Amino acid sequence: MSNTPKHIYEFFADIIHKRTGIFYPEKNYYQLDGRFEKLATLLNYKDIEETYNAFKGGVTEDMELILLDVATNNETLFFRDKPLFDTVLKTLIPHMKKFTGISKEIKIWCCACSSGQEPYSIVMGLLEANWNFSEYPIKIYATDIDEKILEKAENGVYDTIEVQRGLPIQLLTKYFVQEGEFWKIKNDVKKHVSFGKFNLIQSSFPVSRYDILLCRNVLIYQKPEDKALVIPKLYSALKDNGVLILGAGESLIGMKSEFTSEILDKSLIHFKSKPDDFKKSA
Amino acid sequence: MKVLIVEDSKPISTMVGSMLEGNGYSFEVAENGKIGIEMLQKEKFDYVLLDWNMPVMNGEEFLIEVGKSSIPHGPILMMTTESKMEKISRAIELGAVEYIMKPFTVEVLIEKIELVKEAA
Repeated sequence: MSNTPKHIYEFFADIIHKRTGIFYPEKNYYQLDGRFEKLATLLNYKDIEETYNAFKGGVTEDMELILLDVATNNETLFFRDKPLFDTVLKTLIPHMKKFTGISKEIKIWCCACSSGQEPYSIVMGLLEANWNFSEYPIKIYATDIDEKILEKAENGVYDTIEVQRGLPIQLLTKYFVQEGEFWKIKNDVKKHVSFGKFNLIQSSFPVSRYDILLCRNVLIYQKPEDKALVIPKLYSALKDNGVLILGAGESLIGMKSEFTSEILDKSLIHFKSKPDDFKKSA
Repeated sequence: MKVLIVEDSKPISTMVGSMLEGNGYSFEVAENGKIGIEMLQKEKFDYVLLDWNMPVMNGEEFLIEVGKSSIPHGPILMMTTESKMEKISRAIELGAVEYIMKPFTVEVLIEKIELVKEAA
């Protein structure tokens, strides 16, 4: 274990436990060391002691979200936040068919796709629901700022630990092929996703292009002024009936935005048009 | 929630038990499939974590035995170094509902149990 004082472990382990149910007993405190380092870096503090002092001085919603994100280490999970995937797959995507016009094409943008679990989970979910891709094509555009992680996403090759995070075994055997110690996503899934580099702060955004935009656990890491810059661009990138999806626990509260946020099924969805209009057309 | 760990390696069953306890589960250990079946007959377990390679009665034989009997049991999750596709398919065919490949992390173990819980 590092030289981190015990009361700091206790302090953070207590918050994590109360908010996520994940319990770090004293013997497992060492598992927090790497996470503490990441937390300090993300929040721009020198070390965990300085981070601890900041938390003691008052915990903002963003600080807490970043702590929980780092603590749960879930960033590479398939079907991360299952209820949200249920809303996307069972409600939002089928509903979007109403707005596709002649092309009948639904466009989805995963704007911070990391190593690809999010877009691939959407495709696997659609295939499981027997989605008719030839009648209603769905194009998923998956982007990330990090070229290395993007390359991994595009290759679609995962190690044993990665394919066990959030992925039911039936889907692993159905949609992956085994290559030695690794598992490669099948082309049946991959062909529905295209990848590209995108910087949310610096790149030029498309206009009125997407039906569904997933931007999960990204804005919590941005400075307020950058958030204020990005949110209107996300709004513009959506078609009139489009929706924005943020990470579980993220919201637009306190942010200036034209979105109307409402719970749909069990998930918080940010609508470009009025949610009532969206629902009426069902 | 109580878990039966059917595993012949003491270091592994101890480590898995500690992971489970750390996440609010209680557990008991059976050193092979035969002892596992005896324990199922005496006591109710919510989940079974089952190794593949064990002396006396291995995981495959355990699944066959449980499948043809009326022994009450919770969902069975394999937990094994056997990671070939045909082994996974065989275990699923015999009634295992999830498959945890070693080595795994505490996150994998708990998430897999949660997946089974959600699907129930």
